[in-house]
Amino acid sequence: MSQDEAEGADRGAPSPLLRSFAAETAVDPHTAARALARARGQRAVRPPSWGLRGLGVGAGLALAGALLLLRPEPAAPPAAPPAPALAAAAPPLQAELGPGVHEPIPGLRLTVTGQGSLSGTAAAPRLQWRSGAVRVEVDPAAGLDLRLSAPEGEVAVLGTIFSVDRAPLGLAVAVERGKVAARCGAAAPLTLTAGGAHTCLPTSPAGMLARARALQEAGASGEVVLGAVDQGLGISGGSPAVRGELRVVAYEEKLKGGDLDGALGVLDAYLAEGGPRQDELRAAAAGLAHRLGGCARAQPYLPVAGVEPAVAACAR
Amino acid sequence: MEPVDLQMVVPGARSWAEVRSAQPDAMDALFARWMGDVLQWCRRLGGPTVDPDHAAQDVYIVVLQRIHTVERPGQLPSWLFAVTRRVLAQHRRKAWVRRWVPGLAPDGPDPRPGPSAAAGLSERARLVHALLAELPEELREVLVLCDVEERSDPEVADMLGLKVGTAKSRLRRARMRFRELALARGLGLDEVGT
Repeated sequence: MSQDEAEGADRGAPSPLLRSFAAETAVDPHTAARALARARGQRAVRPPSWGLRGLGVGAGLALAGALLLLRPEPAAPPAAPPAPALAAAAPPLQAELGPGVHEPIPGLRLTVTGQGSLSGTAAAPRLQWRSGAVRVEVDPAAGLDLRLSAPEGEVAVLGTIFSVDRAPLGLAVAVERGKVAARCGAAAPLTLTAGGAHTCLPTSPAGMLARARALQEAGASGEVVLGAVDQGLGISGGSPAVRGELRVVAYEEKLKGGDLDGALGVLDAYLAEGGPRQDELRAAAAGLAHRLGGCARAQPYLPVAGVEPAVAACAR
Repeated sequence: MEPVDLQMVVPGARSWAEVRSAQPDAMDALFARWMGDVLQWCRRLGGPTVDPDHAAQDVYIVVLQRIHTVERPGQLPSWLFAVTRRVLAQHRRKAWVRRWVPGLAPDGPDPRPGPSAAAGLSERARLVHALLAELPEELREVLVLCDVEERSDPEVADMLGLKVGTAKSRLRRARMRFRELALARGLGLDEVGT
């Protein structure tokens, strides 16, 4: 045993406080596996900027053009835009992309922590992004015409480094080098320079429902969540079930905020619109109305199953 | 020599070259071995303002991007710790900015609030978090690695890039400072240790 090892073995006991802290902050294999699954999947995040130094992409990267177009959100990822005629002779690409670093062709490096696919040709690669994040490094010297599409939008680029993260909150685009002109919906085009980021909101009621739920999960304020609900309800279309669930989110937020009248108003709107959870939410409305105004106020919702005896008695 | 090192740090990986080129199978093997450690470091060193899950995800991304810079398997533990340390420092800076610039990037991609795991900790553990956060980083790290994770002095010295003697003297200073802080908060000697 060396002197250091001997001293190390005799270094004294840790504080009991730290021992209990160790036990409480220990990570079991199940928790580690869940954290890994999250890192691989939907909740991937953009890379920290300090990690960009020294990457093997040539200096002086120039962005020839980038365009982010928002269009109605389809149920499935859109088909890749056609490659230009000049690229037609290049070898075709076809690959599914999962977590890892991919260099499918010279001049293109993809750091993937989500899911997507690659098609097009070696001169005009097309990325269809389904979920999570991808960091794209394009060497301008390679002359690639690369486009990335997701339901919320599309980015076309010739030489830059950028990241895209598709999550329930929307489609986040972050530019690390170069410059990107982005446009979400009918809003004015937005120029993003290195270090800039922008999120295009979902464009369908279902997308806004996912955003509202994600905001709730994140502990966002009621005002922010209700804003997402209002935006979702303001978008035409959407099934009664989706619109109804948006109202359920609003109901939950108003309850949390102590606005009982507002919560009852939301339930009234749900019931009037004919959402699929009629019985459950009618019972909730009856209970809430009883709390606000006794039997007189609960009467319109009765009789209904699943209410407390005091409320049910109002029906007699 | 390398296969022994390799199987110790990335069990199941076929070669270090596959790990360095971030091949999916090799990355699976690497994270199966190390995600728990990374998450644990994030929980213990991040402090009360950092979401450990979020920080561990960032570490994951940095590893995917930068693993090619690690030349030998034996360098992996200290490199992973260094990556985690830098990610945590960045998260602390972000938390600081968010605190002073409310409404910053309201439409940004990640409005997740403060640490999720901390909410599940006992009052006593949150106090330890706060005490650790008051220590200078160099003392906090050595205290966590030695006294919370119970790693040996040579191992800690290697992870921190220090001589063993330096690590030991830092540990002595860290324990002393931690003890002072804990006593100042009214904790008893039975909890703090002598």
